[in-house]
Amino acid sequence: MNKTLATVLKTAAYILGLPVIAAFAFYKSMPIYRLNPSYQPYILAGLGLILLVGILYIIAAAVTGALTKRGKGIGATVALVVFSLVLTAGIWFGIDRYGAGVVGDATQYTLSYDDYKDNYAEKAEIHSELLTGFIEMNIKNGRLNPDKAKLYRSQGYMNEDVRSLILNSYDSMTEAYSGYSGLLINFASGGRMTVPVMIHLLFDGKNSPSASFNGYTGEGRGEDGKDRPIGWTILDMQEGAITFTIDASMLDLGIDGLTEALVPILFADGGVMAELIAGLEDGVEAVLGAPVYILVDYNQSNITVSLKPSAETRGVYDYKNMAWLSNNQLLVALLSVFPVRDAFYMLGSLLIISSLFVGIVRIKEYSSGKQKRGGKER
Amino acid sequence: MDTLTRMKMLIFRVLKVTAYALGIPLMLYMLSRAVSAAGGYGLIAEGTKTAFSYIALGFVAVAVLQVIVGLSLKKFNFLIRALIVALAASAVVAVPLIYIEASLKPKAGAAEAAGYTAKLDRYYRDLNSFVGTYNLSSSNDGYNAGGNIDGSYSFGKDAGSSFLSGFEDFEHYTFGASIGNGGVYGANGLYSDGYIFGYDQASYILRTYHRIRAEYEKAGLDADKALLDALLSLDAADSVWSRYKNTAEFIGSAANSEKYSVSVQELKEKAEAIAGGISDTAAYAAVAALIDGANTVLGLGLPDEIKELLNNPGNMTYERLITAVESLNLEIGGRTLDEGLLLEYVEEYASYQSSTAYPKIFFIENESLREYAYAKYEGVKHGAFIGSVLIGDRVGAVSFGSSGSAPMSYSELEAVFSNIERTGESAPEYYPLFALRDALLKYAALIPAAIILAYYLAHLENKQFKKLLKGGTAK
Repeated sequence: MNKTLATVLKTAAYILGLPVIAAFAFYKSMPIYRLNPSYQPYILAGLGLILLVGILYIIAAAVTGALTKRGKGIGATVALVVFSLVLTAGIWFGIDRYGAGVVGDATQYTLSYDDYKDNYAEKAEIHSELLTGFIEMNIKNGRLNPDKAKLYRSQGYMNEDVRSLILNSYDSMTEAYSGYSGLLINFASGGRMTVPVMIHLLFDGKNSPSASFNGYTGEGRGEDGKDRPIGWTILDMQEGAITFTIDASMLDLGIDGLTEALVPILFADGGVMAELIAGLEDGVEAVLGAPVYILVDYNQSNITVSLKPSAETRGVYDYKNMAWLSNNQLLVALLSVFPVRDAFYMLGSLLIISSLFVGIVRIKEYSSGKQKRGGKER
Repeated sequence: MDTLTRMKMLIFRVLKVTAYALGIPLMLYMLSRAVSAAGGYGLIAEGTKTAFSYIALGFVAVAVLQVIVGLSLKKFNFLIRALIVALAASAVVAVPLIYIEASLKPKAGAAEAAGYTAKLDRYYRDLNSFVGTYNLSSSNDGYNAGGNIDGSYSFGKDAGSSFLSGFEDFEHYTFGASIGNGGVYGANGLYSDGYIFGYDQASYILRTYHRIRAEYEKAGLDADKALLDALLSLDAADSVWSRYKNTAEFIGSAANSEKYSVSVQELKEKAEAIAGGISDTAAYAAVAALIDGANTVLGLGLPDEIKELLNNPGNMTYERLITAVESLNLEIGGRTLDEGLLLEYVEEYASYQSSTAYPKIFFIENESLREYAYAKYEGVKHGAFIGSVLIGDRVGAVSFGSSGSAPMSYSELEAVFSNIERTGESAPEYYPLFALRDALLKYAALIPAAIILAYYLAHLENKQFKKLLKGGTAK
């Protein structure tokens, strides 16, 4: 076979292999890059993996090329094909087999490998929102300097203030969280948040303030302007508010229509109830050592009371989301690997076929070369 | 000529393989389907798998026999070989079938065999409904979600046999020790704080509770009243309970458990702080004036204690608050809200029973009444803690996320328990073989026929092969 032709064919085959897979992976990764630009270099973990595979493949291609020259073309081709399978689907068989356990262990089973592997675009959005939401909350409450809002938004995780604020908040919550009995946490997060469990969670630790909290005006910062420890309640650790519904007929005052007329007046914004509730909140804070917000909503038949944690005004999420946010860079790195998984599984056959093709071209190339040389010698 | 022979040979070969596949391989496939179907019924999955393994092993033996026969009986007619192998394969199918028909079915009752899948369905329906209503652990033995709140150790039901020195008449008591499996206890013989009931424990507690209640009723007595009397008599200064309360052991664990209780004193302080927060607001006076006005105009008849609290907030002490609350005569669950009821709620929700100190009910002398007290304690108080209330108006998951379920009546429970236990007992022994029987029965005849047919086709193929060889030598 003509050497130039062989080179052209081999080059074409090589390009149709890994570079196409890499391009596809890059394309599939776009939502992750677009949504989480500030998590560099973590978002590039997936590309790093491709690079590694690329280097291994180049070495394998060189070794098998040399073997073909020595007349071991068929064995070398089979080896390259098998190695291609290992590099593409093979690696992922392994990761899929053990990944769930590793990810589960690393995140206390708050996060599932299977949930992420086929859902990475949506997850990229969730993890991106964790960061942007955190920045917005804290610009609003003044823990981040509102004058630098634009900078924080554009730099995201790369901004030192943002990074340290995430860690500061998480550390303060972690200290409180680790004070809870594991048994009670299991019950609370396992759908068994009963009245006694709640009472234990609220009062067993007697609410001693935990690690220094980088506060905002009004809370968390002492008169000397320095951070101070603050208290947390179990409500802060849980996602969502706790809601009760009270049957409005309990307020029946004996006169038709009186309750219906009174309730809207009493519960109007800035009305007396709002002020009474603010007083109640002060009392509850004195008892619990951390603020709890009480929201009252009403309609014809029901009054709904929600207990909302202080988390939002303090600029934090519930504990699970804070744990994720504080490790968001690693989660984003993990996310960036899944588009590569897709590409390697879907297009792995390209590398295998192109490897076979390269092998055949090489055998033809070198055997015709040998014949020519042999001809001259004869 | 050659090509035609080769073609014929190929066809016979294909037919031979097909015939063979219709026999043992198809059988194994059908059996494996029966096994995976049984997997849906966890109760018989293991047994069916074991039975399947024996059958599969039998067929491996047939395959080995086939090779041996093929090598050692070459001289014989292929029909003899087919006969031997087919007989062996039939035996693998027939022996378990005969055993099931002749021995197992009469033992279990033919009706049992006929409706076993329906019975399994009902078993799971009953079990799931019971577990769901009472929010139990899905494991029949229950589940330990993590020891005790006060950090003390947990034990199995067989731990601990002696009680304190000086109390030689008392033996350590473990409620529910007769239950076959499960049960995780604190040192005092009550279930561990983190222990979630399984079917075994919940059914035991409910049965004990209802049985003893019924016994008292039969005698014209009320078990709850008897229990209350027994507890009151233990309050006497010279009672064994009073003696026990003075031991160092009790005092030590009580001091430790205080960290996990909200005491009445703490509750008073908290109530004062919350009321103080409200009365400090400017709106308080406005609302007070509004209510006062409404009281006068509409003649609501507000008690003086309330009026006093409204018009003169000043220092919100617990005493003022409780007097005001009592003056309202509010009804909760059929009882008037007063300090006594409030303290009962504190006792029920905010007090902590140490897992090392023995509870008062331990010292009840009447054994049946003591068992009743334990069943009630576990079903009500422990149940309320873990979110698996067993006894009360609302049972199961009474928590912030859910208001629980309506309880099942005792007769309903009895029917469910007896069905679950009957099927639970007979199923693992009989049903795997019934499942196997279903699969074996239909293919029992097909197997020898398929084997014989395969041998015959092999013979035909062989004839063509010989023809081919002859043709070859002729050329």
